[in-house]
Amino acid sequence: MRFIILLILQGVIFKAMSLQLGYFHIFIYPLFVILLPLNFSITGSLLLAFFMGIMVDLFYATPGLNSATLLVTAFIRPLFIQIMEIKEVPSNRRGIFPGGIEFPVFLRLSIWLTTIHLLIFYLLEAKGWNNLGDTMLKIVGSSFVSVIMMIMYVLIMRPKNT
Amino acid sequence: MQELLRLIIRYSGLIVFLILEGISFYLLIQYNDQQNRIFKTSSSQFTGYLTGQLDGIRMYFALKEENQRLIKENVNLRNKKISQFNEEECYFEYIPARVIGNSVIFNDNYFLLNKGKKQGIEKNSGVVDDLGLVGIVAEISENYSTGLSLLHSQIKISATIGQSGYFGTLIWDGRNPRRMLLEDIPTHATVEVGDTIYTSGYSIIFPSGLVIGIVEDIDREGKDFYFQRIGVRLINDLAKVKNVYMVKNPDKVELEFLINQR
Repeated sequence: MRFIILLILQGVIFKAMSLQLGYFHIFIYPLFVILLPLNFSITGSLLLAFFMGIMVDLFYATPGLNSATLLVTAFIRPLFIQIMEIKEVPSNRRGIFPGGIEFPVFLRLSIWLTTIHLLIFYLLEAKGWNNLGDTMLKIVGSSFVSVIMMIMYVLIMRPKNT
Repeated sequence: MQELLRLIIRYSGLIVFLILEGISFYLLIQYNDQQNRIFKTSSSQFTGYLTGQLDGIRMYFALKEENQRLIKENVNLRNKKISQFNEEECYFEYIPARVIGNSVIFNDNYFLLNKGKKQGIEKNSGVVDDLGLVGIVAEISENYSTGLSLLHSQIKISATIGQSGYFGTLIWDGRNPRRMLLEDIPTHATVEVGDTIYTSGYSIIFPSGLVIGIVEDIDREGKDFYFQRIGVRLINDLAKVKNVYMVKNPDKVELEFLINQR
């Protein structure tokens, strides 16, 4: 269900909004990978990330761009979970936390993974270091609005009675 | 054998990553080739239907604005004297369409039209709106088509400055979606900020005399000693483009044949 909601939000709503926002483009679909269960298998994460990326590519008509980027995000995610020593919240309280982790931890993980995701995305899209100044502005601006939108998403979609 | 299996299982994540990444990069690298065309055609069929439905809802809420825009266009047409229509402009045929998908955030931007082969849309035809140029049709399916926006690294438009007769190539540098660059204008050509840039007509895609934009700034040095580089402020906002016309040159096949003979 989250897959479909994030895909529609990205492919239809945020794609249309991005036309008016200059350097601030909202990329919410990496949240699908960020919110996968902590102990989810790497192979499963990669397959889901590839599928999500290809679907977003269909909406943006950018074959391979989003899938290549999201695969990297899914691949490095376990590394960040390890470095940041992220622990799951006990199962009886898990429902109210995004991805079963504490909110500040989710925030840190989102900021890191989103920034890296957009760094790779824009460098691939610009085919290297062309217009580096503009590319950096896009990375910073888009990471900022994307993380804000991710926070809003998890707050809105949080189960109410847990 | 068991060792090998154990190794594969141990590094399964990395192996899957490399395979899937390889597929993605293959698609990415083949961006301008056959795979990309197939991708774009199927992509337009898939997303065309969905975005077309949503566009219907959006269109309802934008009716007032659209109406104002059409009234303005009608007034402009009524005020235009017959003599102001150039012969070439009238010779081209125009097919109306709606932009139902569009991007301006990439270095290579595309748009999606709600009309395709069935409605007479042809590949490599120009697309304009009531104010200026929009792009060129790249791929068509039965009911939809995709096009290269003016904001695409491969777009090169032959353009002329006012009535001076000097012409150059209009390109996009991937930065500001309201601004393009006019190159190959000789340094001895007199250009002023505020001059109007038109299509030159030296192509089979757009008729001559269509307004593209206004000269915003001039780099007299240009890319070398002999040519200056001119910043052009586009007359239309490509992020807001909605109602467009595909420009059809009735002699396109004959002209393309001649060009290919060279």
